[in-house]
Amino acid sequence: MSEGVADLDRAVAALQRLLTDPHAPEQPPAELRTHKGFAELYQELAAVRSHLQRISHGNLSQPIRQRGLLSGYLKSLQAELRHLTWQTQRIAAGDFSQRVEFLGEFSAAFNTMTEALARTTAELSQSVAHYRLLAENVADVILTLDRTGRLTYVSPSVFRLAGYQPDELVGRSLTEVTSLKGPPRPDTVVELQVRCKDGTERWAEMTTAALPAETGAEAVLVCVLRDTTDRKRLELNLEQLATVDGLTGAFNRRFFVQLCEREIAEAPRRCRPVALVMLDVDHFKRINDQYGHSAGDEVLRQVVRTGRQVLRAEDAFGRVGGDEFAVLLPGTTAEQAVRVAERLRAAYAETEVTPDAGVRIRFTASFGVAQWRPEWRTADDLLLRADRALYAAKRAGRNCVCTDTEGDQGA
Amino acid sequence: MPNSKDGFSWDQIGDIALGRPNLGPTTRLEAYRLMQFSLRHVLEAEYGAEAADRLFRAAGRLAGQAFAERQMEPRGSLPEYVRDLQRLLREFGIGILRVEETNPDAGRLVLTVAEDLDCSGLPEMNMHVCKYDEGFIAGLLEAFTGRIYHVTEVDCWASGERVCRFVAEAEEPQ
Repeated sequence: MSEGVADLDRAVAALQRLLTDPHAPEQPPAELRTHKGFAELYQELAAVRSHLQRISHGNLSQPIRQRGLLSGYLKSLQAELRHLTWQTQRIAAGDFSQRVEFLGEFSAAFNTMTEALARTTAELSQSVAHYRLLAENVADVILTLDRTGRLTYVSPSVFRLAGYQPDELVGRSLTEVTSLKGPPRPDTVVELQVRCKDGTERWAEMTTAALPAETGAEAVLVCVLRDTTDRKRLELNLEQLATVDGLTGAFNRRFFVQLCEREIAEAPRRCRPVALVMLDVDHFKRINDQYGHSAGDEVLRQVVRTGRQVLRAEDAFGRVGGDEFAVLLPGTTAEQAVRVAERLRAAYAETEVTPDAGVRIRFTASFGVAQWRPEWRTADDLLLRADRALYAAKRAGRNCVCTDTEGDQGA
Repeated sequence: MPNSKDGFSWDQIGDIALGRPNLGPTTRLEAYRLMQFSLRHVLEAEYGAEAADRLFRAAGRLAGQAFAERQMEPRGSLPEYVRDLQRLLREFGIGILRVEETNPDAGRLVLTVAEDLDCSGLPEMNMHVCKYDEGFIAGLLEAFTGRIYHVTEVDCWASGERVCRFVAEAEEPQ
């Protein structure tokens, strides 16, 4: 083999390695560098190879200094890709007018994608606008919550409910502005109180649903708040009408008896006594006859007002007849109840009622005390025993306290 | 013909529809390049290459400004302006414009023109020849932004790069 052919073989091998081996050196083998033309060719190809590698890895910023056909094609490719990058950035910024030209099938695919994206975005915007319109005009308040229970969206109708602008609430916890103790659970309907901006409170019913996880949005729950303040007020009024005596504010007989039944049912379990005091305004008919019925009504109201000042919070005051009242004293023995009745008696004796200017009415009351006994069957038994004691007090001259003694005899 | 002493304007092109009812507004690219390169040859011979470059750049700037004033709609954003320009350059057969980089705050753009009117297909001459294009692009950008632009061709078909790439940089406001 001649020397020239051997050199050619080495040159071919070096070029083949450049084309196939990623670790081929950037410079030709030392023995071939003396051939200037080959060395330049090798370096040119090595540079083109490096640029190709960079472009294939997405690096488009490296300047291509080489010239010639291959480098020219590379520059064209680099320019196309850099322009596509720029166009994609414009599309990401909402400019859907970008179109790719003179890139064959890719142009058609890219342009179809951009048109579809523009169409979908327009439809989405329309849909968002539609639902926003609904959310912003519905009377109910729509809100969304993130995982920590913080508000991420609040519809403008919150202003009507609570006096807040939505921006004042977004980012705050729902527990800050409602009576809720923690984030609501999905698929629940709860009644809660909303703390309004002016310091008042309103009742609302809140329906909660989970948002689909695949939306990927920050919000995980959507809640609809409906103002139920008026309904709640009506319910409370109805409840009051059903339980409270309209003249005096004391419990009415029916509800008072229910309270007694409840207490005497629980008393054995709690191992505590229950006592009841019946009281009656002495000579109430005379007050009515002398001062008129409205003055009599004022006396009855005063009986309750004074009674509440003397009694504990857990004691129940009921109006069980025209001028007859009863006081349920949980956890109280007959002996203790007598002391309570004495305090009431003394308080009434010192009370002056002034229904009209210049009119001053003083009154007294009589009291009968009974303590619940397990052998009795119903609350009526307790009321009956206390009533008997009350009549005993009346017979004893009024303005005094008598105790049920039959129970003691029967025990 | 309008008096050139009054300044260059699009109107100096004349009424082509009137003057060329049969041949119309287009011509062969060879004719354009014949005019451009023969003119360049003479200017170089008379005044030197540097002066010829300067004159071509200045002519291109006038042309770019006139082109923008006559052909382009006022646009609010650079992408809109570029989109219009791409369409017009294609319709006029001037070239295929592609933008690689825009930095409006810095007043810098990098763009390429493929199938360029002036140079695509020229034999390799180891030189950048698109001086007219440099001025033309500067004129277009000045018409849009109101800022003075300096445009430099960094890659040229005629120097073996097979793509014409231009870097445009705005002068700092005085």
